[in-house]
Amino acid sequence: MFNVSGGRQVRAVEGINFKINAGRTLALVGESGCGKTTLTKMLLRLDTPTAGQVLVDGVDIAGLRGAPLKAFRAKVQAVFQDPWASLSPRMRVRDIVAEPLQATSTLSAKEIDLRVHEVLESVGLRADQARNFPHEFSGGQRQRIAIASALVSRPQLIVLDEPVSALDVSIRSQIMNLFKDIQESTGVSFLLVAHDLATTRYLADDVAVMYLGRIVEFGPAEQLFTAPQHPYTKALFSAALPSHPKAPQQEIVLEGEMPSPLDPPTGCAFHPRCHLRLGDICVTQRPVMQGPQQDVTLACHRGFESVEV
Amino acid sequence: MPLDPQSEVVLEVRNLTTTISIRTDEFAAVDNVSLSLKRGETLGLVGESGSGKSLTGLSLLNLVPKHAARVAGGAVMLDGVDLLQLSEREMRRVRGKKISMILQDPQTSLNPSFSVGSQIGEALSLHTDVPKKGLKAAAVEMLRRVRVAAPEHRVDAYPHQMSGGMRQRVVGAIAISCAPDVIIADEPTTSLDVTVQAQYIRLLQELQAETGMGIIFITHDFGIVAKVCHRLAVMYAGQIVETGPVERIFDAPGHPYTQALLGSVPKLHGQQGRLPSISGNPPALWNKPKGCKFAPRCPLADTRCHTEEPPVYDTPDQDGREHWARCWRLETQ
Ligand SMILES: Nc1ncnc2c1ncn2[C@@H]1O[C@H](COP(=O)(O)OP(=O)(O)O)[C@@H](O)[C@H]1O
Ligand code: SF4
Ligand SMILES: [Mg+2]
Repeated sequence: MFNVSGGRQVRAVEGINFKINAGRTLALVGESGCGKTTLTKMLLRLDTPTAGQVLVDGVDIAGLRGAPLKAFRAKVQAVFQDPWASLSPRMRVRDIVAEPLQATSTLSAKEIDLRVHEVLESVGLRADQARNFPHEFSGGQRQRIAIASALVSRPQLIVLDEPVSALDVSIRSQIMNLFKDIQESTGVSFLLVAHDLATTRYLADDVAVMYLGRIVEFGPAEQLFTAPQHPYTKALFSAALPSHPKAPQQEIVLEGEMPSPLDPPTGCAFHPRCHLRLGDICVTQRPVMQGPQQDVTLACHRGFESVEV
Repeated sequence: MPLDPQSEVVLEVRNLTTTISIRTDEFAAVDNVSLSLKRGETLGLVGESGSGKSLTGLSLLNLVPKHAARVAGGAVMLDGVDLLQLSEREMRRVRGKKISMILQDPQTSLNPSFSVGSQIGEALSLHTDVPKKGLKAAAVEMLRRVRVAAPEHRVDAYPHQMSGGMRQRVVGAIAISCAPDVIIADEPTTSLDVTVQAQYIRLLQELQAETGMGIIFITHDFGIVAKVCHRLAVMYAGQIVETGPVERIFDAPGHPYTQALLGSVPKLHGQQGRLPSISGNPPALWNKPKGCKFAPRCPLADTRCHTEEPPVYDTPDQDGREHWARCWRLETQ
């Protein structure tokens, strides 16, 4: 189950249940192919699940048509990686930003203008820049335009898919600060997908670790980053780049590549690569979600480690 | 891996300048760059996009885009030979054999219509005397060296049949196929998963330990620098603004730009709250400031910074290792 702001229940594909509270950020982490993109696409209804459903407020979003679909789209928005590809070059900023309003709009053109000016200012651009075209802006500014557009319909949830990885280092921190400011002032929730773990740690309140289409560990970011429980989480986080040349590093080497999600291994899907495998049970039985313990849930036959005090 | 202090210099770049022509004007995109690299050493070259990192790498191999760019001056000394003085024919024999480059985008550096084995074979036939019949076996061996599983099968695969991490290894195999003295790796891991990136970095380190090659690692990621580099050169607007040992630059960066960059990166273990950030954008090629190139964005700039270009100030560490930065603030230190 998955709560978007104000108690929205979302249930996505088999084995994937999570919630995001109002004003919080949930990050999905895992290697490419683990299902992060599929999950976000289904949530945005850019894709429909072949099995299972995505339920928002108990309603299967695949069945939405007409007005309810438009209302849904206004509530769930997205910002993608590439600010060069995601903005249409022939449209003025005003129309790009206002696009999510066009579908539902009960607003007059004048009210829309006001709304656009308001969101442009909230992302650090000037209202008069609404007249300009995307090519007149730098990469960082274009990402601000994309963020303004995601905000204009006052959504409850924004999917952030690698929102800073295409930006320059000196611009990234500006945009990350902006996300924090926006969340504080509007209470919007974020679902974040970022392969840089330091970025994830900085922005996320909660983290869901995915492996081959399933969540293997879920919990508060602080908890997961300081005491990861699942062997995959441990290995993944140990591969993160250090923040100082002298930072101690103990990398757990994951051998091999991720198996095909179409033909996942038996038992625990991670068992062929697991450095802490127990034995037959890992090969034959799929571990069920256990917990929560200290707000962490875990799918591993080893169970929770006792945390030393 | 620490570097042997006795290690000798293998590559020395002096006052390299590469210009870009825009209509009838030429602008220095690589501006008077000097750097050196020792055997077995990894030098990080960091900076924002457009700062001139790739163009510096391409200039060392004399591979700058023909019509747009021109190496306008300087020297690139490898093994006592100035590569910039070589004819294209002579250069072709050096490229790949003594110095090679892993390009930024593996998509463009592999040909989609040939098997990876034949592409590795081609590199080998250009620079070694492996007989034609032995090329395939040698290609399998190269794939094994870059830790590609089942190399006997993968040798016949086409690039699109491989994962991003695997393609990047193939590009690596081609670059190291002739055991060059120097490899320039241009952001080779930018789009890879953390685990694949870690594997690739470990591979480069192992190969370096085996062969003693020097590596120039172009990146914008300080995590990579912290992990693999011995020394660091920071580029801004075509210039190297600071060079020094990596730990020293992390602990005591000399240039305000380096300080600001290091401060703006989120740390895996540590800080919360707002991230410090750098205002504004880097200057356009045709519109560089007259004084210090960083002055318009620098929190410490004074009038002189805007009018006069700062010289290089040396601030070597206790062991006498080279560390310098290009900033007026260091004048009084
Ligand atoms: N083929 C080209 N034509 C025109 N300008 C170029 C070309 N290649 C590079 N440049 C310019 O040279 C400068 C340095 O670019 P580059 O070396 O690619 O930077 P980096 O690798 O640091 O991102 C930039 O201003 C870029 O726009
Ligand atoms: S020379 Fe002046 S403007 Fe340039 S980095 Fe130093 S203090 Fe800043
Ligand atoms: Mg580049």
